[in-house]
Amino acid sequence: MTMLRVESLTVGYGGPPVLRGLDLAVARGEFLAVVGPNGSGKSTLVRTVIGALAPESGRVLLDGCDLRRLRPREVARKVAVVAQETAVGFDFTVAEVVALGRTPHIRPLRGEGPRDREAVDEALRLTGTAPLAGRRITALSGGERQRVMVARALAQEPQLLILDEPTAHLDIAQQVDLLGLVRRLNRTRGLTVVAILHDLNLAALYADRVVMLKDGRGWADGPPGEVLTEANIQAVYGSRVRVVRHPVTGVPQVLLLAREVPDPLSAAGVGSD
Amino acid sequence: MKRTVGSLLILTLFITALLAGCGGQGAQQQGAERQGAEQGSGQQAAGTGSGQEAAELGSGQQAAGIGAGEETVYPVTLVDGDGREVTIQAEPQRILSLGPSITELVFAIGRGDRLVGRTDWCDYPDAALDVPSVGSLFPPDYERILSTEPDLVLMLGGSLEVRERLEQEYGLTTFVVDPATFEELYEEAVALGTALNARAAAEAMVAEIKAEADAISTKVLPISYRPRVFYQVSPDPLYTAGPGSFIDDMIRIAGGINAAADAESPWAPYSVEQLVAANPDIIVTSSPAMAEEALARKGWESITAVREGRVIGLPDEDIVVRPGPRLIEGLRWFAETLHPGLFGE
Amino acid sequence: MMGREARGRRALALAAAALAVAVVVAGAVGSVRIPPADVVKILLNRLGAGFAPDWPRTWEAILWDVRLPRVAMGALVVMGLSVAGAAYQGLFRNPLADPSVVGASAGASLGAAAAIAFLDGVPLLPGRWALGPVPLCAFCGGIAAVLLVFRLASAGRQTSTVSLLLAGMVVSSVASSLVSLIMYLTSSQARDAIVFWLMGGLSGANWWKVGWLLPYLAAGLGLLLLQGRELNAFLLGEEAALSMGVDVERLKRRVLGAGSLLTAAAVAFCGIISFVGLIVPHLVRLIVGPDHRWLMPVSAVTGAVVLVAADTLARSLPWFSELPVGLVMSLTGGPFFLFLLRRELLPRG
Repeated sequence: MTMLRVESLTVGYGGPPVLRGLDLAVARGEFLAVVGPNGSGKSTLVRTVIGALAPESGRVLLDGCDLRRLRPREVARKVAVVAQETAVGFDFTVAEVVALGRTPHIRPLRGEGPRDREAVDEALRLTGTAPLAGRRITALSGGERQRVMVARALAQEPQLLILDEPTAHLDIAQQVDLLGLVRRLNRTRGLTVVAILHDLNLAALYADRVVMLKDGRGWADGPPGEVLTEANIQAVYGSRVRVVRHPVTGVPQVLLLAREVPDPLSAAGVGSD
Repeated sequence: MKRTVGSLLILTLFITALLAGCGGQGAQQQGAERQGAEQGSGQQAAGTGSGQEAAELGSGQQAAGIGAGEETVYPVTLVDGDGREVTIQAEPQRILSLGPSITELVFAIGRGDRLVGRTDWCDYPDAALDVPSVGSLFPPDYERILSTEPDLVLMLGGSLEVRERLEQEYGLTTFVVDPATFEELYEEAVALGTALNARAAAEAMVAEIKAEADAISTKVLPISYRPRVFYQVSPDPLYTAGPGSFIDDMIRIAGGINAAADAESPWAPYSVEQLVAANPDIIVTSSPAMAEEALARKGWESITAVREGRVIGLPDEDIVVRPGPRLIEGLRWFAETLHPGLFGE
Repeated sequence: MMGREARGRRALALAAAALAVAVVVAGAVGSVRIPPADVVKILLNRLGAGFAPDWPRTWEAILWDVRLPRVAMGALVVMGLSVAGAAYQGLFRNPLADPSVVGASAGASLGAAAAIAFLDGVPLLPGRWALGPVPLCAFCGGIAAVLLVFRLASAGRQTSTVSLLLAGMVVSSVASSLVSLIMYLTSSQARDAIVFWLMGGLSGANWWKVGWLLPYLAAGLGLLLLQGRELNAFLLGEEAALSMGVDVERLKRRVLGAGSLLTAAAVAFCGIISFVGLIVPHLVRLIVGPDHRWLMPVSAVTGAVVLVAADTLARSLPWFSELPVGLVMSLTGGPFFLFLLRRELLPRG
């Protein structure tokens, strides 16, 4: 069953399109990682899928429904997004932030019901953030804040969770914690996950499938072992690397090769020798 | 013929007055009242039944010939100083005066004892100072105005907004008294007198003023010398009294010519160039101190009045600025200043 | 969650009580002093209670015709400004936003100045419901300015908050220059009237104007108070809010529309009253937190208290016969705001 399908998607910001005829399908319960160099369209994809950007051509199908026919509330009940970083200048408590995730479910004139409170409690429990419930969000560390954002997303009770470079500002322990949490939710509750990751190794460790984007199109699509190859990485990133097998899990891991960058001045023949 | 008309009139008046006494209003009655008043004394019905007793007229009013006919019959509709038709339901017992000239007029026609409020600026006659003040009117203190519980508010012409507010929001009756010329003063004083049931007093006052004004006017008639007079309202910016103001009137009646006859309005700005070009023979200022200052002013040296030292200050500006009974003193002063030989002590 | 709600409710109750007290004090103070107990009795009598009147009749007229309309108009107007300020601070995610930020005040000033200079003395309806051209032109000016700002800031169907702020600044400054131009070209009498009007005051208040004001306030307040939850979500960021199902563009239109209605109406009747829309939500946020569902109503009532108190103070100073209330707000609001800022900035270094 396809949770998310993207067909010939072309999206731009007014100039040349960033996504050019992208095709993508995500099955229910899958953990998909989307990787690619900067400017390849990863964040644009996220924005289009939640309806923030209108495509120039192509379409997006969410659980079989055309995105254009869905209202923001309906979309939000299916899809939740955790962004890189959330600027919170206002000091909500953790519990309040997580409760915001119930927004698409609460009727405008009605208040919160017992169902909503249950969902919030569940979200706090699943993410292990219950002990933080009464604390101000501005007083938390980056890692804790991201967990709270995941809790908020979970409170939406989505079928699809999209993570847009969620580990960008986290240290290695926090990265592992967060992705481990997400993978656990994916495995135990069948939550479909689409994670935009810049770190190829993390993608390999946690995702079932990897899509590598180049210039707004899909370059490679498949299990990590097939996609994360030296050839692909060279072609897409323009960088020579060495790919090895992870000693514990067996998934591919990318090793960077420090290379000598030639001195541009000597190459041009300027300067005495 | 006259007798039939007369008795018919009396009959009509009697009947409508009876009806009025029972609480009704009659436009007919007012028309008859006005007509009857115009016909002069002697034809009026006695016993105007609205319940008003013979009101005390001010001092000097009980002259022979002024019968009960000079009594105002209420309700009465009059035209006030702003051209509006104002209906006064009953004889005002609590009068609020919102202008110093009005306070002077009210006292002059003998109704000063009924004033329940005045402004800070109302300082003449001395008895006025005993009346409680409702403030300076800048801005109007509506609370104090309301607390005087007036049944008639007398106002100057200026503020439409204040007037509307008093009428529409607080349900007060307002009556404008703001003459700009001697003719208007005569008319409005009588209207005011009628409003306050002091018509005879008002007419007597008007007659006195008129008599003196006419006397002055007659005296200067054969004189061919008409000095050009400039009245300085304020020096900086320079303002003068133009055509349509009573100062302009006074100058004319006193046998002079307003040097600022080309001014655009009764209280008009005037440029120094225009003043020098007009070259008045006499400059009048609002006080002796201002006169001293004017003599010394730069750029005015070429003016005839300055060169000849004929720059004179009024002893009290109020006698020309306040459109009330003291205007005659202002006129007298102008006559003495313009033609000292003719009107000297 | 529960803690905040309890706090919100308590704050609202406290503010309401303070407002009641402020209204009674306002009724007592003036050139004619009325004992507060009598103020209460007179008010209750109007509502049907049957106290035997042992006070002069004029007190009722003074209280009901002169003082209370002032209080009512001031309170209503500032309620609108406070809620609009709170909503804008949420919409722009900026605690320094205030209702004038998208040009409503400047546009209304321009409308008023034009009316004073060119149309003065032309009443639009006869009698007690008469409304001069000034409030109407001011109102239209305010709304027109915001519409212009919205057009300028929109690209297609999207309107970014940053563009709104910038367009607001531009339109406000153009409108201000035009006001100065009008003042330069017109008679000194009109100029004085414009300056006085700009200082903001309640001197012309009466019940009929309150009647005119009421529908706009009800509409604006009603609409804004319903956006509380969505504004909360908005605080996490526009895209985050969108991902939570908030129709972001619709929210912007609603908040700006209702906010401009409230601001334009406020300025149309009372001139420029600054700082309230900025400081009151700020203050209230310190007490009830950033949750708009409490922030907005408590700001409304608190704003009303502040205004009634400030106006009563202005009226009771013996050497100022009637200081325009906008002036009082600026004079007291400015330093108070400075104090608030220092308190917030210093601890964090």
